[in-house]
Amino acid sequence: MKGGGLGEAGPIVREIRIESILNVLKSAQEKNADFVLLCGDIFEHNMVSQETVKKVVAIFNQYPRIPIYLLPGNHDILGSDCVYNRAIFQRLKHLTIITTDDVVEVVGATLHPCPVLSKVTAQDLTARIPNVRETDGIHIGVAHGSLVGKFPSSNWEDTALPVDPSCIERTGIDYLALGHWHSHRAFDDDRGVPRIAYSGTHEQTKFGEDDAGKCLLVEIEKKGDPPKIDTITTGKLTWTSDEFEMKDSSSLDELKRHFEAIRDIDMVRLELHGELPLELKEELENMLEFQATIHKNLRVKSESLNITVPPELETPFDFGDPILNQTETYLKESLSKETDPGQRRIIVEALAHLQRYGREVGS
Amino acid sequence: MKLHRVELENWRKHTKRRIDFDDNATIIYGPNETGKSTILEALSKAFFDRSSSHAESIKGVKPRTASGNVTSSVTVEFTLNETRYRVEKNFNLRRGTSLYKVVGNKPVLQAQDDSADEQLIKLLEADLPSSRGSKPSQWGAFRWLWTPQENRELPTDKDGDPTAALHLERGETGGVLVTPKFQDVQNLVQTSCARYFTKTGRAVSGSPISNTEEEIQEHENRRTELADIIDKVEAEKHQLRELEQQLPGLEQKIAATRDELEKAQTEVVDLSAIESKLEASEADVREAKRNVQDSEKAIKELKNSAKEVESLQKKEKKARDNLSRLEAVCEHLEKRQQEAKAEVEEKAMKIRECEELTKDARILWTMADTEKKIKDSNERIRKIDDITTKIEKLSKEEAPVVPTEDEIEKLSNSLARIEALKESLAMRGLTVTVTPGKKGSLQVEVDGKNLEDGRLKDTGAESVSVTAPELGKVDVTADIKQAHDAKVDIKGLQASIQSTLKKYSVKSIDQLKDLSRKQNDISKKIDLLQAERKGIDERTVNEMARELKKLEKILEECKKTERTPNAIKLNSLDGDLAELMNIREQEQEAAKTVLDRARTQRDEVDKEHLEKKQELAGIRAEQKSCSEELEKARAREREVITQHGSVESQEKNLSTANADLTKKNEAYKKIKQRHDELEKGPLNRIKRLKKQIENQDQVIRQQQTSIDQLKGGIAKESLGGAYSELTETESQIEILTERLEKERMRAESFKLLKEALENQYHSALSGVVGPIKDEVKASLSYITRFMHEDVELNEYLFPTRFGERGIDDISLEFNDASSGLKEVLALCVRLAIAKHLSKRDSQCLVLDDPFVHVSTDRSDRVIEKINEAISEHGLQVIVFTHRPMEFSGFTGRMVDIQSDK
Repeated sequence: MKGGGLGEAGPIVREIRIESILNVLKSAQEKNADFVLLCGDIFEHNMVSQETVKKVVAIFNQYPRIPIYLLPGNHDILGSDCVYNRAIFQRLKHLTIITTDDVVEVVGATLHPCPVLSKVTAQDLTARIPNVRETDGIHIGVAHGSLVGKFPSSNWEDTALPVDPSCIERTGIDYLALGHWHSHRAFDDDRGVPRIAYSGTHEQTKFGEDDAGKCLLVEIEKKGDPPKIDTITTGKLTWTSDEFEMKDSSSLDELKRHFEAIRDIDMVRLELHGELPLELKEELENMLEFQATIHKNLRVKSESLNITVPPELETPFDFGDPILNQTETYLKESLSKETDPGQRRIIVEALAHLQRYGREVGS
Repeated sequence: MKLHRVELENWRKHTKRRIDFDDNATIIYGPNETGKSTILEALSKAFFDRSSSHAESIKGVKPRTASGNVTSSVTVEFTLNETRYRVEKNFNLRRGTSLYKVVGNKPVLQAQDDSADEQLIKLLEADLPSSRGSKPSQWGAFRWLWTPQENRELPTDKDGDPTAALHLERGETGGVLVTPKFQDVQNLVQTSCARYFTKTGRAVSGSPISNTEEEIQEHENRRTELADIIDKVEAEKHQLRELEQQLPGLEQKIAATRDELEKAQTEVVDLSAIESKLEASEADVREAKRNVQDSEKAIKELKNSAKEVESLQKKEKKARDNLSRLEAVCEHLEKRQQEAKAEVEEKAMKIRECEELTKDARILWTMADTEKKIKDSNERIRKIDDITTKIEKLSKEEAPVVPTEDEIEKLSNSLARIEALKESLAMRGLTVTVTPGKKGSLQVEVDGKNLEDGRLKDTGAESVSVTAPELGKVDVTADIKQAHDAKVDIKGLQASIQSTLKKYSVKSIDQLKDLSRKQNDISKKIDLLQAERKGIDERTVNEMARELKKLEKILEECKKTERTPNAIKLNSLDGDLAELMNIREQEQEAAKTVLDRARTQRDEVDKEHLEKKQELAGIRAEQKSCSEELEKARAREREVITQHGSVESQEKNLSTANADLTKKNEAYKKIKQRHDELEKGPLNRIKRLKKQIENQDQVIRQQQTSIDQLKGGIAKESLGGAYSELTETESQIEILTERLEKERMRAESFKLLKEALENQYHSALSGVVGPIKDEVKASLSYITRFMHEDVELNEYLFPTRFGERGIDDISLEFNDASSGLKEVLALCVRLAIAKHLSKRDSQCLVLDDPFVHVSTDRSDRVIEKINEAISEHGLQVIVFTHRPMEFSGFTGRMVDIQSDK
């Protein structure tokens, strides 16, 4: 997760994302989990700073009694430069980095890992999971990829790591833990039992990720039992993305109320549409400026917001100086004739400055 | 404002001066340096300077004649906004200002000193001066209305905004054009704009935009670097994967090769016997080769020696042939030599004969010639003797002295002179002869009779009375001196004549002339004879006699010479001996030429003969040498034949040896082939396999090294955290880009606002300045008789451009105007301003020599316009000039500065 499009909030989000790993481990401890399974992309890239790695390791170290099994994903992919090759990870006794498809015996279960060895593959990642119908014990598959046919393919990355959705039926495993997609998703087997699930990212990474910031507590009593999947919120940040239509002067009050309602949200994205009279522009800016101090990140897009001038130019703003008045009239006329949005914004800015200075000097 | 009067005391030239101003026009005139401009200076100091000022311009107003500091004072009475004031200012020694309001005729003190100065400045709507004195730029509207010499030029845009000073109010709505609020807003906008743009509109370096752009660029650069690092690592990973994939294959190969080696090592073959055979065969082949070589060598030697003998034989034969040829040549040359020698002798004989004949002919001729010469010489001598005799005879007749022509002429002249003198004496009527006597006495003869006289002085005309026997008393007036002189002259002349005659022993001049004539004749004859003698021979007789003797001697010798019989026979005495001699000489020359030619030929033959003989000697030596060599070569040939036998036998040997060699070679090849076959088997294979293993091992090691290096490099780069930094960098770029966008928009908005404000200001200003511009145009048109009908004023009321009749647009710049036109333009502007300000209060226009460059026709029209302004706008005009007649058109007061009338 790059934290792109967040502007100044990017570093904050990245920092919090690391910190919220703690919530995962904390939840595991609280829930007496037997182990924690991390299904990849803990790091956005193998070439992350050692400082970042240290932070993660420090968090892992806070819960040394909980075994952690980590399958690298396509971002922290196995290879010669794999971040998990760093010596610092070798010192974590309770951490197992899964690098092969050899089965891993864990407390109460057997893991069948499907490591990602290449960023692109046409082969089903779960192809090497054996048929375990006749094998005792709980068998859990671990993979990092996309369930074929279950997601819209907006880019090649989404379909570059195919996972067979009929893996459960084919292999007879009890559960397939998946990583790769940021939102929580669960999928049923052919009997309608949810046995395949994406926990999603433990911390939402950008606007538009729904149902992220969670981890899953999966309980399987015995072989063949349907898994009990509970979602636990681990994400620290709250996000909201809204659109708002400005119509007239009352819209400002409405917007104010909207901000009141989302006062506690950390990451706010707001897209403004409609029209706003010129004389209210400053008030809007002041409001947004104030709101930016309340939220961790406030992203406002106002390209679609049209600043208008009143049709009655005979009653302009009276600066008490004829030249200033004429200047304002001239700018308003220019604004009414201008169609280019960029130029319109400039004229509006100029008008705003004029009015502001006119008021400052007058006072 | 209206000025009423000004009084000066101790102000430069003005000890005490008062000038009362007319309400309309006052012309103050006077020649240069009479203090006219000083009045204006005093007025301006009175109004605009502090009395406490220490400026140099203030100090300078004291009279030059003053010793030490004095108080210079100026008092002005004026009316401003319908209130009459008086200001009294003292400068320098006793400083102070007093400002009065004049109520009725009584001055009421309003303020003093600094307070008075400040109040006055405020009344005048001017600016307070600095301690260095006031400047026209601080005079408010007076800057346009008053023109002291230091302020003749119209203010330009660098001198500040005139809108306040000139009360340039907005036409329709009223109010001052530029309010403090506008200025404040404009300043704020300009300050904001200046953060982004320079005055010329270019981006400022160090502005928020440029700084952000630079920052973005730095981050972009870093992003590129990091992306490159990441790409590089990816590439290395890819390379590593390939290498790792190749490694198992290589290891398999090396293992296979090792297996093969192990297998090959089990096959061993004993090659020692075959190697011995091979060696022996090699030895046989070598021996056979040696035999062949020996035969070849022998054949070569035999052939070489035969060839050498043959060659030497040819050479020797050639030498012998040459020798024979040369000997024949030499023989031939000897014969020719003899012939040439004989010919030379023959020719020499011929020469001798010719010489003999020539000599004989010469003798004959010489004899004949000598005889002739002797005869001639005798004849000449004889003639010369005759002539000499004649000359001697004539010489005897020569007089020792002969009168010259000059002498004769002189005598003739003397005679004539005497006659003339006598005649002059005779022309006196009497024949008076006056002869000087002793001691001044005169002997006077009158008509031949001597008279007694007194003593007379010989000093000019004298009169003497003498008694002439027949005549009685006669007064003889004579120029005694002249007569005396004449007489003396006559006497002298006569003496001279006599002397000359005596000299030549003649008695008369005629005799003298005869003498001269005769002598001349004799001389001429002598000359002729001498010339004749010279013509015969210039030499003396003795010389001629000597020559004659020589000739006779020559003749004798010739006669003695005996003639040869041949000469007698061949040299004929008949005919021309000179011709004969020539012929013989020519024959002799021709024979000489022939002889020379024969000698030359002889020499050539001799030379050639010598050369050939030398060559012959050389050839002989060569031939001898060839023979010796040939002998030696033959001897060697015999040795070689003895040693090797004949060529044929050796060729037979060679053939045999070659056959033997071929046979032995074949045998060797067979053995060798067998050997190689055996050798290329397992031994060779083992070696090959070992080498192969070595190479493969090296490749694997290299591959491993590369893999290790790549792993190390990748691990190291991975630790560098390039991705984390890249993410941070991209975030920064995003933030900065947003900021940049905002800044750009802000900058553009400020720029737009600044431009809009400026445009609106100029537009408003144009509206205010418009009426003044129209006024200036109208005045200018009238004054220049519509030559210049249009003018552009900038916002500082400075005429920037003007038009000219015939040119459609306003195309001429102010500086294109002549000095006169510039003055007219400036006056039009000042007048327009005065009229404009007169709406508020009456104005006073003060002009110091305004028509320096303006022609009369135009100055008259300017005065018309001023008079118009005076009557229509209540304008008061004060003019300082040294040409009062120019301003006679004014209705007002004329003040003679010198008399103050």
